This record gives sequence, C-alpha cells and structure tokens, in this order.
Amino acid sequence: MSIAMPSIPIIGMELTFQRDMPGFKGAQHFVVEPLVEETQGVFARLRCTDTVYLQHGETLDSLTLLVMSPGYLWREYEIEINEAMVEELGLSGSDDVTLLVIVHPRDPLSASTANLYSPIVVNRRTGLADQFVPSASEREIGWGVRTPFPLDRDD
Amino acid sequence: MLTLTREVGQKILIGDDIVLTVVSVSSNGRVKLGIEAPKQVRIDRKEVLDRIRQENMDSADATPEVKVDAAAWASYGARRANARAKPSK
Repeated sequence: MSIAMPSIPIIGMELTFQRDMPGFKGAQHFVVEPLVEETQGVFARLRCTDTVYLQHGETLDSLTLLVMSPGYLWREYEIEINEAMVEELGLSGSDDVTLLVIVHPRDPLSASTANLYSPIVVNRRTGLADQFVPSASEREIGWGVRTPFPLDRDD
Repeated sequence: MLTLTREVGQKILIGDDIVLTVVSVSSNGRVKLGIEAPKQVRIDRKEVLDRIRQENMDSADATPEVKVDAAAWASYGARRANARAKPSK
C-alpha cells in the first residue's frame, strides 16, 4: 500500500495576476515552485518574476511567498468569492479553481499562520489569478488574515 | 483633499462613469454610500486592503528563512497531510 504524496495541483504553473498583489507594486507574474527540488508537497513557493516596488518606491530584490493548499490543514475550508472575480478570471465552475493561501512562517513552524481570509484564486486552466479581497469582515467571513495552523498531537 | 457637502440622495460624479450616492446617514454617524462604477473598477474597503497588504509584506519578510529550512517544512507538510489521510491514528 502506498500513500500518495499530497501535492498542490499547479506546481510549475505560471500565474498572471489581474492586478498587483496587495503591498507589492508591479507584482503580477508568478511561478509556483516546489519547496524542495523535484518533490511535490503541501507547501510551495510562489516566486514573482516582475520587478517589484514597495509603496514608497524602493525596489525589492526578490519576492517569494510560501503558499499552501488550504484543504490539507483546514478540511472544512471554503470561501465565497464574488461575481466580479468569477468573471474576471473566466471561471466557469469550481473545477476551474485552485486556491492557494499565503503562509506567514514562524518559529516554531507549528506556530505559523495562514491568510485564509484573502486566498489567491487561480484559474487552473489559464493561469489567471488574483488575491481575493472580501468586502465582508474577518468575523463575517469566519476566516482570519492570521489563522493559526491547527494543532496536531505531535506538535 | 477636496471636500464636498452633500445631502441624502445627492450624488457625486467621479470621472465620466463613477457615481457616488449618499444613501443614508444615521444618528450614530454611519454613512451609507451607494457606488455605481464600471465592472473593471475595483472597490475595496481601505482598511481591509491595508490589512492584507501589511500581512503580505510581513509574510514575505519571514519567508527567506524557509529556504534554509525547506526540508523541515516539506516533512512537516507530509506528516500533517498523512495525519489527515488517517485521522484515527
């Protein structure tokens, strides 16, 4: 019996954001890269291939974020995205969608948080993507910008 | 900053095709605004976007460390995903 290695379904994909990722001017093109060379897994790196500026104009040397598929740690996770985003990303059904959430790594690793309030929504057929900015509050949505990793008995 | 005084029901036109309407003003100071704009115009609550922006920057700041510990992250992910696959271990 083998246990399939879990994996983000869009490793290697190039993503084109419809607007700058919030906080990073010019950040619209990204590549989803495996965390460890040639392996797949729960986590991946989201590396920006554009020249990126901060709000005050200074250039960032590089922009890489740690992302994950939320379903691996939060099985019940779901979020309702708005009609404007569905249209903009050309989504025709939930089969078109892959969600990524941005991880805020902390030490120890089990104390990390992830932004489940504002996931990156990807059209996995086309690579069109955007970070969802809800119009409802964190309390209304039920998921926080800093949602702690759920505890595990080995942590 | 341009400041305009408007009454409930009055509108402000921004550019050619964005219309702001003052829908209501409550006694506790809450103002309800109606916004008509083309679909491609983003409308966000500023404090929400600011919070996401800040968290994105904080997360990016903390991420270079992950490169050093990539193997630890990968094995943590595999362990958690496998625990999920058989929850009654």
